[in-house]
Amino acid sequence: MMKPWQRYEWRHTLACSLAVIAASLCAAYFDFANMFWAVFAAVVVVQTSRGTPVHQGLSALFMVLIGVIAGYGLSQNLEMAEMISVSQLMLLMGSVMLMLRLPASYQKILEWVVPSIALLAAVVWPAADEMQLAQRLMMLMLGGVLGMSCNILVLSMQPYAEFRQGMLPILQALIDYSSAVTMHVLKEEKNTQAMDQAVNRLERVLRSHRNEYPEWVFEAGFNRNLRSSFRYVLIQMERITESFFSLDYHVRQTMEPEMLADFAPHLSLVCTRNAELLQVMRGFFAGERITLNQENFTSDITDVHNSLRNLLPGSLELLDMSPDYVNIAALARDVIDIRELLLQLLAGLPIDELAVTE
Amino acid sequence: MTAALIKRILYYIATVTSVAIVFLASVLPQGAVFVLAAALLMNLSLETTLLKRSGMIAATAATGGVLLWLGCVLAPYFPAQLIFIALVTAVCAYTGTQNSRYAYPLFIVNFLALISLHSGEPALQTMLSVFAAAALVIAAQIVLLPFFNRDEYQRSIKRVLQRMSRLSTNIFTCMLSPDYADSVYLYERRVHKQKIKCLNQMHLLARRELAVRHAHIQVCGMQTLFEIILDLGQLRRRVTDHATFALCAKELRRLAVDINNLLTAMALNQRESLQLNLAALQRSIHEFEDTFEHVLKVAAPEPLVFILFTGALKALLGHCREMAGVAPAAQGLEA
Repeated sequence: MMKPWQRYEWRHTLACSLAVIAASLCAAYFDFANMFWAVFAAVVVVQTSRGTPVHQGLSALFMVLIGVIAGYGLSQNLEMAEMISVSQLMLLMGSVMLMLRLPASYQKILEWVVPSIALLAAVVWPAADEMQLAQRLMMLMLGGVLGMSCNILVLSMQPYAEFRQGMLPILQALIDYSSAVTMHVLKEEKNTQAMDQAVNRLERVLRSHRNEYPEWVFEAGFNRNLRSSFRYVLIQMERITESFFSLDYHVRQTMEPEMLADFAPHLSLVCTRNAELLQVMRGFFAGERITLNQENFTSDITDVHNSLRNLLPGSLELLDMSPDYVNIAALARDVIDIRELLLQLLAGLPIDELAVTE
Repeated sequence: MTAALIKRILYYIATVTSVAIVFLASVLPQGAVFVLAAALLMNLSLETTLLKRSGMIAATAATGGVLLWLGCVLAPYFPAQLIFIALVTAVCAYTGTQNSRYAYPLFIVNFLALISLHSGEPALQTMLSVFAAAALVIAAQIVLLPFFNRDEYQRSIKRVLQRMSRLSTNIFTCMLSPDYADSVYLYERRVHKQKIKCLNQMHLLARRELAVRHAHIQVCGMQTLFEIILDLGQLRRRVTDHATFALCAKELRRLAVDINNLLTAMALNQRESLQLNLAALQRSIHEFEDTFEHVLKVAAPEPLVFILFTGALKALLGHCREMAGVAPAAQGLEA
């Protein structure tokens, strides 16, 4: 398990604070009057996601520099009223573009707002001459470089550990959902409240409400050495979650109770075993010792197939005679797909180092 | 252009114009801080009710203003000011990563505190400038964004359906692109992005629906629609030989277009177009079933997955009918 100071939120906090301190001290040493610009650049460039801090930091710094140079250009050629009008127009455009993309991620908001703010700041605090502009730009670059250095040195310390930590919430959400489905199919009186909660939790993790999902692996420019393996795991997880969403749809459909009564125990057993596999995977990503039992993970699938053979008509033509037939076949297929994907994913993980066989 | 969009644009225009007029009229001694604070605060309009929005703007401005005042007070003692700014940045960064919803308001607070580093800003006046900016933005929201929830709710429904349409298009593209098997990552990344956008839009819709006191009817409908679309997408993974899709490429292409048209018509809420698109989708499903009967059942290695796909298509059609309030018998255009 990760120690608190290895966690992203703490390291991000540390990177931000160090960037501010370093930029302030350097600015105090070189050019006290332009300290604000150095610290502003440092704060802006550290507001990146985990995947590509340098790429995002550079583009943010570039936009701030453009904004400040444009602000100087306006201040040299226009009256204050015209300057304010032009800069407010730029702000307006940024805000409208942002509005069209709502709900946008924090990085996207900054992408649209920060250049306008830099331009406005350069207009309302205009540089007197080229010399002052050059000093301001130097301070911005100094702050930006210091911010990015802090980000690189402090933040991207352990992408592997970050990735492992990022996988835990989604796996836990899937385990919870599997338990909710198991309970749902076994109960005679259907109550979807537990499933609603579990699916909401799953969606919340996917939306990365608290930076829970390692979506940064998908960012362009992410570490070449790591991306193929990380992306493989993430795509498999995407497929598993899609199967869970499909399962959620089918399991909520009303079916004949007699038909479900025969099938439900087999289905719940597969869901329970799937949850066990998810637990194993969760244990691996959490770095816990894993106990592998000698059960095979195919006998329950055979039972599901046998149960389906008794329930459904033998011929494919007759399958769409009743929506219940199709629904039950889809349910079975979803849980079997989840099993296959989990086994594929587990086979690709170096799980033996942590495993203890019972 | 929806009413919500027009109102929002008017709100932005009016706010920036008022800020420029107040700044140029030099009513406030610290005009620069006023302009910057207003520019940052005017984009803080994601909350649902006017009370919540105003509360968020006021709380952000109050915190930022007080921190700015403190920073200015500490300015003569550089080490103390440095520690103060570093602490404010740390708290904002930590809280922002803990809850991304508050990341932008916290950035505003952080930025306002940073302004104290700009030399020669008098403490009290800068704080009052921030408060004045917040008052102007709140006043603009009250005057220019009436029926905000109702308008935004309608817009959210439209946006969710548009996102679903893009998601289904991306899913069908996976099936129809011959190079999918070689570039799985590229295509899956696109699908992933659309899924997350759908989830974000659905979450926003749920919040808006709660604000307008509807009983989560649309959100539940959208959730089911989202799940059905993902169920349709299972086909791209279940068919092990991607060349199989070439056998029904024409039908899949037509289905993709019809689903896209149907979801767009639902987003625009055009009754006549809706009925035509529902009928068109039904025809396409029948055509796909014909192709299944005559080609896929014989040639495809896993015919069952196509039956499940057809089941999902029919579920999509039925659910869209239900959401649009169009009864199957009333269509009169059944194939």
